[in-house]
Amino acid sequence: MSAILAAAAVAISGAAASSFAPVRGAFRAALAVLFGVGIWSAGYSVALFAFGADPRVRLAKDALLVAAGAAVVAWRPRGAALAGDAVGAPSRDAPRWPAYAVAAAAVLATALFVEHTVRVPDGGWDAWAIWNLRARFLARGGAGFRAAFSPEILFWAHRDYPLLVPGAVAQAFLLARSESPWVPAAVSSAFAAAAVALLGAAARELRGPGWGALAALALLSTPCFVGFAANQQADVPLAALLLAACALTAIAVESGQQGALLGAGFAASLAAWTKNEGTLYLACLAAALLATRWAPLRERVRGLLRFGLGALPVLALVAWFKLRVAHESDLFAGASSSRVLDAARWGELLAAVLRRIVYFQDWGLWLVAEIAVLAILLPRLPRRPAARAIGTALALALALTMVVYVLQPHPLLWFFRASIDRVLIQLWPSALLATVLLLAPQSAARTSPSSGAAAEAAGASPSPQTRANDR
Amino acid sequence: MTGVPLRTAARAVALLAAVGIAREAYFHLVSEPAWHLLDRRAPRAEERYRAVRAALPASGRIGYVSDEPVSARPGVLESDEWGTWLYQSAQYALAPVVLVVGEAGTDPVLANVKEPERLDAVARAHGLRVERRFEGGRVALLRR
Repeated sequence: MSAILAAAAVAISGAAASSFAPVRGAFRAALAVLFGVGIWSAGYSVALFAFGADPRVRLAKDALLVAAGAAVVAWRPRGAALAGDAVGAPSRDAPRWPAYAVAAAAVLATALFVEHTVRVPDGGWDAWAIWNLRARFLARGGAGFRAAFSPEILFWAHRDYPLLVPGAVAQAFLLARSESPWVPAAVSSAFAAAAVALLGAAARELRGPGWGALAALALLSTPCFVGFAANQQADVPLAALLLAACALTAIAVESGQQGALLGAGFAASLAAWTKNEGTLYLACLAAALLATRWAPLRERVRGLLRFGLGALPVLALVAWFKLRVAHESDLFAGASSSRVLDAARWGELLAAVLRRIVYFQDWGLWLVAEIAVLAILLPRLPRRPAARAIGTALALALALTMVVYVLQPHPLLWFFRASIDRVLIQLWPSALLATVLLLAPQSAARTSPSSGAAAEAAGASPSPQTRANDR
Repeated sequence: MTGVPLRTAARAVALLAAVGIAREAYFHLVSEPAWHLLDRRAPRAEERYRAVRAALPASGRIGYVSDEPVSARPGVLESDEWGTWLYQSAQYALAPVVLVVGEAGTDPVLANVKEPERLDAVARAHGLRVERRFEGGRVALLRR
């Protein structure tokens, strides 16, 4: 009974939250999965801290999610405009093989995921030392669940990390009455599958079916993607939620339907509830929304307010958690400005970054190709506002991450090698989306009446401000 | 140039995807062959702690001592990761009990050693005696 209610809570709350996004089909379905699991987990944390670990609290929480979600689904008007209405039938010139290749790659990825899970059932080091450890504390601790945040546990457990993944896994442990390693593996696989589906669907919605298949294939064939998913860490869930935020931002920028920014803000806030980096990414996306000239300043400010409104509920939870439960981070223990001003430290980091670009084991040739595209094609292609907004956010996030690397107290190279691939996989699906948005020709019908791209496509500008913004 | 033709992009992605999938195939078929999956699988770390978990209280704080140093402060890494790995795997297996590194004042104290022959010396160093051994003396409960 409780498992059925929990499944209904995930499905209905996800359907309700995704109904605010002006998208359909696989795009909406993938959003519903991400939003559903995110709401279910965030709701668990709220209920746990506010009312305790009694099973009846979880039941009441799930019942409330079902009721509220059903009310929203019933209340939402049918037939609202879809941002992807302009996407037509596949072009006759579009090759069909990418779709078949995606299907084959998905089957292979599933097999590799299962193989890796059998080989390493508890996941990667961070999975059992942080994420599944926290889930066990929450699931086993009962009324004493706050032991999960004891300052006496070594800092390696990162008690300051937010709880989206452990919250979902802990509830699944309790529902299954088992701590089988297949439980966190299932949660992890759901996020990975949603990331692939969302990337393919978003690229399809924005640039057509051929590009959707290519984007999905690119992600599935990135060597470290399946491994990180099977490692049961929070990086792939964070990647999926950041991708959702970026995809909805692109929809808003290109279609002019700023309502999508509510969903973008919500997705970004769930990313912030997944990992500390998520808060940084949220801030970077917000900054890029304001700084990138995709509309007149007034509209951009309005868009930013919508983004913030969507982020507000979960961001409030993140803020409360950071202020009241877990306010210490080992990354900033003993941080000093002298590290940032240390040229040798920056040189060491730069050399490590350059080596990582050609790190074949995890990335094949994908990072090299991405940099080649940016270096060779970026200056020659038209400035597409959505690609610029996402690209600016990702570049800003990467730049600030480098500052964190220099600031943090651990030996620089050791810490870099231990974490950089996970940071990159968090950003990678969104980078692939931005790359497709940059490379693929943009249909005039897909552009927003208020966007600079629309003005370009129409050969005129709606306002001098917009025209100036697009230069 | 208004964009890259889909067919051109498809050819590039095909090449990159083939390289990426070949790398994954090498890892799973050559480097760590899938057909040796079951016979070469490492035991789960928590199997080491199954018996001691049953002997410990269900919750609370327990002192933790070892023959290997544990990296306990941000920025200060011990020369190898054995001690830290031992602590983390024990904490993972024994949650929600909180293991407190270096604390010898609780009753009991958990000893978790790399070399069983060092167990008695570890206990003596903290003024404790070995009450019960598990896993061939690699894990033990100590008391005053």
